Amino acid sequence: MSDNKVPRAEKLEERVAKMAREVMPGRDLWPEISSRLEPRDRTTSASRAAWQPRGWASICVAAAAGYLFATWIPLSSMSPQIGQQTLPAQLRAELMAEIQPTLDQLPAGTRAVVETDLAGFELDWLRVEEASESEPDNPLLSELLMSAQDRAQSVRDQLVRLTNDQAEAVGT
Amino acid sequence: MKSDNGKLATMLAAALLAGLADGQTVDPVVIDDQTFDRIFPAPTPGQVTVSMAVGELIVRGWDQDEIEVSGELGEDALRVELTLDEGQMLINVVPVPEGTEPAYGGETDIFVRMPRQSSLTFSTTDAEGLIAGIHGSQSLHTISGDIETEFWSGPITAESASGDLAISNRTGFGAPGEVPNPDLSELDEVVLTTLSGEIEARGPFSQLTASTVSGDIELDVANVSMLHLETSNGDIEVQATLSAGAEVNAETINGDVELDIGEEGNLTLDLGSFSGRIENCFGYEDLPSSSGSGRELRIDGPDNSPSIRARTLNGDIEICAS
Repeated sequence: MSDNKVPRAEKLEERVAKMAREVMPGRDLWPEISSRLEPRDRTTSASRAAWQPRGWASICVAAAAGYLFATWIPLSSMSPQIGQQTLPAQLRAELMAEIQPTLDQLPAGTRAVVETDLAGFELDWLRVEEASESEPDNPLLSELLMSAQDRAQSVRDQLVRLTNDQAEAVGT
Repeated sequence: MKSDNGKLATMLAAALLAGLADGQTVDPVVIDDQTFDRIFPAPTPGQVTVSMAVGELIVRGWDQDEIEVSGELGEDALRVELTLDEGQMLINVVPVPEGTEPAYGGETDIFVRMPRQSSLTFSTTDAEGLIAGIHGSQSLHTISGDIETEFWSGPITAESASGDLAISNRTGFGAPGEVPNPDLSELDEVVLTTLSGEIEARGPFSQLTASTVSGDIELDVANVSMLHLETSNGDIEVQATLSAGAEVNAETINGDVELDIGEEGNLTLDLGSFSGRIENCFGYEDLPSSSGSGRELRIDGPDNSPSIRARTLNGDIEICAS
């Protein structure tokens, strides 16, 4: 067995290295900003010339921060939606989060074993995800990714059956 | 650990009692002697439900319309409550509450003999289960205890968090005076699911599903028409004879798949591995994937030949004749 995939951290570093050092807007944003500021800017038009460079700088900083945010924040900690489709990383994060409460109800010894194995499973799942990202048209990877997602749902349902259902029944 | 088990067992018992009584209260027979042996008349087929946290449960099917419950209470069990209602028997082994001094020492052992055709439900946290001779359905749930059972004719569902699951098919072995079921195609499905446990199955199985996260799957099976096997980190090892038109599906992420299965020239193969190797004893040559990285082996067999599909990310796939 071997694993020659590029880790997510390395890919991230590559993307950061390729980023532009400054980001300029693609069009002149001032007219729109000016129209919104007009009512209270009417008496301070003389100061516009002095404000304008700082305004451009603010826009650049905001745009750069937005790009950095979108690029650097781990996918699993966000809720990115492309249309109505859930991203694989988001689905993984959500399913693993749903599993956690059921783990808390397991006896300590069993919980330790199962948690370790589920951590391994999540890592495997991440590897499939990364491979699938690098080859989105590879049907083998698509099948494995779907299977990992299905398996996680089965694990969640199984743990719920083994623990939560009984707890709810006691509560009624 | 004991308190966790006790809490779960109490939950299990309460849930089972709630379902059993269906709004009506049925007074249980309470047994708190260290050793006991009781027999109750029971219609056939009926339903027996056993809930116990720890210890060992042994269940045997017999040809009498009675249920016998015997055993010995150990340091983990406070008492046994038996509730019989309209053909359903609930056997609830009540654990010793936290902070309470146990009345007895040693391990708790419960022996149950029940009509063969009745169904069995067993829920436990850490008890071992040894089950034999039950022809009705079996629904077996364990957190960490191991379960070993026999498959006769009724469907079986067994699931665990970390306990091992082992099953053998006894269809070819009739009970004394009983004609064994020769038509394997009529057998019900067996579903075995565990997270960290191992799965073993032996004997003729028509339809078998086995799933783990990290545990290995080891099968020595015959007359198979459907096998569905999946694991993330475990290995899959199968020795099998297949029925015509059988479908075998095996998937892993890191685990290896080893199939001693079918016969040369009479298999339809669809094998793919992203980073692992594909090997076979039939002389077929695997090729680079036609749609990306990885290797694949695709062979079209004769009509109605058994169909084998295997997928792995990093594992190896090896297929040979059975």
